[in-house]
Amino acid sequence: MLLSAVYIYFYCIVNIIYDIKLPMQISMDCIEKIANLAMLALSKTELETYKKDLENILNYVKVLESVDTSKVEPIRCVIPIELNERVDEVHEKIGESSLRNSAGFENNLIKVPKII
Amino acid sequence: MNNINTLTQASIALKFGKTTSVELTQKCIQRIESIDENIGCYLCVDKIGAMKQAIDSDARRKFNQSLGELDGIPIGIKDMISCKGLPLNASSKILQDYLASYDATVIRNLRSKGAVIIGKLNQDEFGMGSSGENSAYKICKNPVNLSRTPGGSSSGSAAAIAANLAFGTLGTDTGGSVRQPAAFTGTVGIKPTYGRVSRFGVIAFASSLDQVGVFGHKVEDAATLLSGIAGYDEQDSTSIKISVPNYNLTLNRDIKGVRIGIPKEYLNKDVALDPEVKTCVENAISRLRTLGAKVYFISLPHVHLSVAAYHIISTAEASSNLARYDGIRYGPRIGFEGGFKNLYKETRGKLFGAEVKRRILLGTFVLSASCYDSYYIKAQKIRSLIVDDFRNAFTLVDAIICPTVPSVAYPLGERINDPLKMYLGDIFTIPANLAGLPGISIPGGFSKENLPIGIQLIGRPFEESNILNIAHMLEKILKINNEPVK
Amino acid sequence: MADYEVIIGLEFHIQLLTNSKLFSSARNGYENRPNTNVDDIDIALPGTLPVINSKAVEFAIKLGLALNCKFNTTSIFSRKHYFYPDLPKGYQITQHDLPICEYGNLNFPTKNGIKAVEIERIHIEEDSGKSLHMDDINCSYCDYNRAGIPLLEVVTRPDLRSAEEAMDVYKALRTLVIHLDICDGNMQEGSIRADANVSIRKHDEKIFGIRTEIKNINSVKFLGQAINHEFHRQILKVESGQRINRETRLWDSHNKISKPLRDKETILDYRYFPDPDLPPLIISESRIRMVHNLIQELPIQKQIRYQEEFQLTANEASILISNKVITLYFEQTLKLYKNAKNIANWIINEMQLSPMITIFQLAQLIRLIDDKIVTTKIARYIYEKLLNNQAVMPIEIVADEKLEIQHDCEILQEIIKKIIINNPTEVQKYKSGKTRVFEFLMGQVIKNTRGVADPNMAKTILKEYLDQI
Repeated sequence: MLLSAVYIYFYCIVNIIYDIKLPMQISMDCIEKIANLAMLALSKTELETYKKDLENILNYVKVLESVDTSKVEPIRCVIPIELNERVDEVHEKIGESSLRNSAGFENNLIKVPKII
Repeated sequence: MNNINTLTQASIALKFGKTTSVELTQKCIQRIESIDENIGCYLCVDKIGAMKQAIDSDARRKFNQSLGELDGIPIGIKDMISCKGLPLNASSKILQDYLASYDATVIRNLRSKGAVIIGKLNQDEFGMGSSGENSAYKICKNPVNLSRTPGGSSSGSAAAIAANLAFGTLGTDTGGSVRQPAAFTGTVGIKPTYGRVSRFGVIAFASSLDQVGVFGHKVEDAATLLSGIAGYDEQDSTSIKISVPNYNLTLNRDIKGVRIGIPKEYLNKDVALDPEVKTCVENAISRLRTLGAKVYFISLPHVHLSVAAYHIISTAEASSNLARYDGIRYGPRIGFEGGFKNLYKETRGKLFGAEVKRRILLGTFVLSASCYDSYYIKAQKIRSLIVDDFRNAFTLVDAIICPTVPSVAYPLGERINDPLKMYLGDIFTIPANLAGLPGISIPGGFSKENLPIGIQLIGRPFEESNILNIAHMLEKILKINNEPVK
Repeated sequence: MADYEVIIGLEFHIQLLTNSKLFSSARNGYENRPNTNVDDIDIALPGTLPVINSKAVEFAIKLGLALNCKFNTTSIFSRKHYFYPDLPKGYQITQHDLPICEYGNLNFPTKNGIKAVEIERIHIEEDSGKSLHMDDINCSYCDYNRAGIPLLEVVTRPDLRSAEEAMDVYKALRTLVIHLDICDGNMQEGSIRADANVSIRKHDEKIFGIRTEIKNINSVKFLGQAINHEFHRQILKVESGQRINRETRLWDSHNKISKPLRDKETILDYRYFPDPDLPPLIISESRIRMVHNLIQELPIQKQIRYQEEFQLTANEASILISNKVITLYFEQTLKLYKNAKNIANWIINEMQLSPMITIFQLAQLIRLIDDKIVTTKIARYIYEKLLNNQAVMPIEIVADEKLEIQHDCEILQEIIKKIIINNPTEVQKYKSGKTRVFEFLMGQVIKNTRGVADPNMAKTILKEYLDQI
């Protein structure tokens, strides 16, 4: 992951400084790490497919770099509002617990594989 | 169905005793049973529940206690909106057999107005897709031409109106998922202002972009249905406290002097716009002029960056919103034996569809530490610029007109293996989501192959009345005849 | 070993005493039965959305004021992503880029006087559920009662230089949050948990070393043990030529060691980004002022005042402020009678910090001692009689049983004369130089006067008479 991070930084800097449009590339290692981070078990074929797809899309979104946004603030809330606060009152759920439908429901607990 | 096809017609017929809710509901269900197998609109039909609601509605009406225009009207609900007791699958295997344990606020609103909830409508999995081909259960076809896509992700919601399998339907729109299928199926679809309608109980795809939208045959139908679901909800922190006007009251207002803008960027050569679609929009513009509207060119200088910004932001938020689907507290689970990490990876890897996984991967990537600034923050800055573009444009005009989609409904299977091409079909709808603006698509005409073409109007925040008004007047003058599909 | 100094920064997670959880209306309370205080929002059912609890915000403001922090008018909630069965959404809602307050300080008492540690930030976040590992080797169990409980995270700067200082900070913060009524401070139940960030460096170095984080500490004692253990562990490693790994370790209080929690290689990428379901939190000046008015004298202020105004020792002061009930008891009694030193002494030493008599009874009792109406010994007797008997006042017992100190010289003289006559052997012993017998004779005086003899007067008279023989 560190190596891909280095590559991406290098890639971005090169693009900005030299205005070279390098085709976006993601290594197999990188896509595996992302799949791991996202907790998705993927077959080799899937990894290859998604690697290419991501490269295509990331190449496409490079167009965003064409605009200088150094003086622009990222949008916080599309319709400007303040956070609404709720009165500190308890409202107990009536009826059965929704957890009853879990595949791992046992003695009012949720059973999961051993967590080390 | 005699001549009761639209929501308004049904409402009037009920009011004047020409029909009953039971009759309307029964006919709906019968029609679904006879033709939906060929289309694929419904994932589930709640026959018993719907009939009970219909009976209750008729009883209310008998005692002069009708709850209004929507009382007794059969409405279909997009799968990813929670209806207590009914399946809530988001058209995904990862929620297979999961039943909703509570009603979404929009559903509570509909029930309080007496609407009859017929069943859950097919869609692209988790709202991701523009063709109805990403449903884990079955493909939804376009009733106008069964070899074509109905659009997506609210494919079933749009198709159900086109095929007269409901009088009104609810969908969700994150990047065009209501307006685009409305255009492809020749129906009316409206996405409200961000925050106008509660998202509580709606499975989240991209939280800062999602809104529940409505479908109808005509603008007046959409207006009625929108009135029925809109409003502030304290359970949704992004819901806005502004009162809901009666959208039907102002539909027929004279639009003389109303200023309408055409984004000149959309006429650029690099925008792959189907010439028939272009002609259709030009025709609509000239009709609007005859009604006294003033049409101007406006500029949205950053609008060409919308699709790129959208895919970074929406996939980032989606990868986050979908992190909860792991089979632990609900839904099926796979891979228990291999340890808890294995449970996560197998359940998610095997039960999420391809498009969903693609977007989760992209979203995870753009949020990862080394990429966050150059992708996510960059996209949110671009979004800021797009919001400003619209704000500036709306100082010159009151509404913006453009095509809904650059093409007509394409054949099923044409774009399923080309994600990027699929994404580019949303080029006209995405900007309104990024800026949180209300947008409506109405039928503007037909292509040579008799495929519907959609015209889109975009308005200022909370000015749904305005775009509904213009859309209604345009609809009247265009006199598009949408034959009920057999 | 003496070459190195230890650098410590602390992170605290404080469970707030609100009625409902941070983002849902489920009950916030300790519950033995699993999964009974859970709402659809807490278990992340599809379609659910968070709505923030205003009381939690108020408590955050309270703590921020008590720690002299600078408030961010606008603060943002972020999502912190990781996959774990006790984290229903797959992310925790916390505050990352813009917390509610920053840059404050905590004054805390130590045996060497009052010190200060700088507070880097305070932010609001939700707690996760709990994973229970029972005997079953193949599985664990999740209980979501704790999921969504409001937490305040307090992060100090790495200003601390000893385990004792760290322990003092833990104690002081706990006392503070109890006093502010924002946390019950119950460590066994995990109401206030600590993580320690520890690094070492040689005394002459300026740069900080690599730090490790030690988690799962829920007692002051364990904090001290964990820090000292880590200090030694790091020294051993460095001395043997190895590098310190930037890692997280879990404190095992049973075996008194720490173990690495995660693989050394895996640096978790939390993919923080602002939560799109929650608009920015705006805190106005007027709201801060309103909360400010709710805050009474802080524990550290009491510590200083008790020492300066009442001449209590640092130890006495710190004992009195360590328990909010005792502080209140002490201060209420003080309103009735002004001898703080003696009241403090009685509460600490005679009552052993268990107030079993009313403030009215205590105030009167101390006054009786000070006015020399009863002896300390008689006062103890009266105290026993007052226990769990709120109806009677000390002065009534004194009157009923005639417990006033006997000041009357003549009466004492009579009694002492009788004792001398009745104890010739002991008198002989005393005269022959066994001065210890005096104690026995005094004991007889006390006994014969039912304890009310003025001790000094009795001593003087007895000695006088004995000398005269």
